[in-house]
Amino acid sequence: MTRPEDETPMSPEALAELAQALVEPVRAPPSVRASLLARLKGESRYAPFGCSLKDVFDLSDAGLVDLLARASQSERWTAGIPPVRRYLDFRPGPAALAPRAGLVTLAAGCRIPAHRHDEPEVMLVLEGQVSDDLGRVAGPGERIASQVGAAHAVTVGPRDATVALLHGRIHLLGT
Amino acid sequence: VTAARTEDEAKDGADDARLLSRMARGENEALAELYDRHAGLLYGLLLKLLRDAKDAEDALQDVFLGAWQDAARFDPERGSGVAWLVMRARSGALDRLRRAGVRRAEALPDADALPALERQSPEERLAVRAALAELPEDVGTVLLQTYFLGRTAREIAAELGVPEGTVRSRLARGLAILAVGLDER
Repeated sequence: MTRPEDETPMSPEALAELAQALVEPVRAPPSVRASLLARLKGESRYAPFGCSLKDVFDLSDAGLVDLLARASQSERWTAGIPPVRRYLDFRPGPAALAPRAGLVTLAAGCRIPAHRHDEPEVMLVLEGQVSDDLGRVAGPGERIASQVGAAHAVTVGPRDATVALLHGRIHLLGT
Repeated sequence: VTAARTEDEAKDGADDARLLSRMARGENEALAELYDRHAGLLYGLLLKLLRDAKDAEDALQDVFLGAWQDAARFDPERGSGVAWLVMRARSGALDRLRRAGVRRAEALPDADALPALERQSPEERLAVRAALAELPEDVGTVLLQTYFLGRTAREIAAELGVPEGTVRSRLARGLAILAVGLDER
């Protein structure tokens, strides 16, 4: 079946031109904007990273919706031991590169000491910024990936950072 | 005047692209700003397509939630932000009409592309805009129903409660006015 967006003989730019010429803008009720922004602070907060989350963690559509819903409920998170402020574990899909997964909020400015990865790790940043001593810096939507045997230390930027972490065993290196 | 308007459009387009790029990084302030820039046009469009305020409000929210979710897929090389949003509004309106059981034609509408709107030069775009601004509202309604919803003259006639011939003549008038607008440049 033809997709609706294909069922027009006109280009998107031409349709936009037609709309702008023929449609008088109408102010929507303020409740629409308020409701929209409330959803952005709730279950849709991490929606812009949905494709990356599905990709890294091998999540189904339903799995992603479930994760985003759980992430929006503060009672689903567990308080952590500094520098972890809180975390929320979830199960990655069978094709994910490592066996464990979680959302983790790390304290601003903290440093995770040098460690070596016994299994692959992917750190997908959702909020804030993290960097490592290999010169990699990642902001929202960006990833830091570590192969088996790789070693690094991680530093959190000036704000708390929330990351989606796909991980396995690590061991700390000497201080 | 043409150069100034073209510059304004280029700036608006660049601003939209920047906002969408910020949305892809999860900045909800950017979505609020994009909403403030375009919600009026999209809500007006959805009201005309859906003819129901509650449906239009829900569809408007869906347009921006979808844009929030898919912002990383927006490619400014492939088109403008406003066109991207207008297509989302159109697609959402079609989905709602389909769910509501409003019949749609299997075939394409009783009109071909509007070549006047596909022209690229700034002078031509301004001439077409001037012609569109002169269109009577009943003609504009027929153009929107034809090109946004893919409706045939018969379907539009049923929707508006007017004879099919009236719809055909309004469509013909719209196309003629657009053609004259171009010829008079």
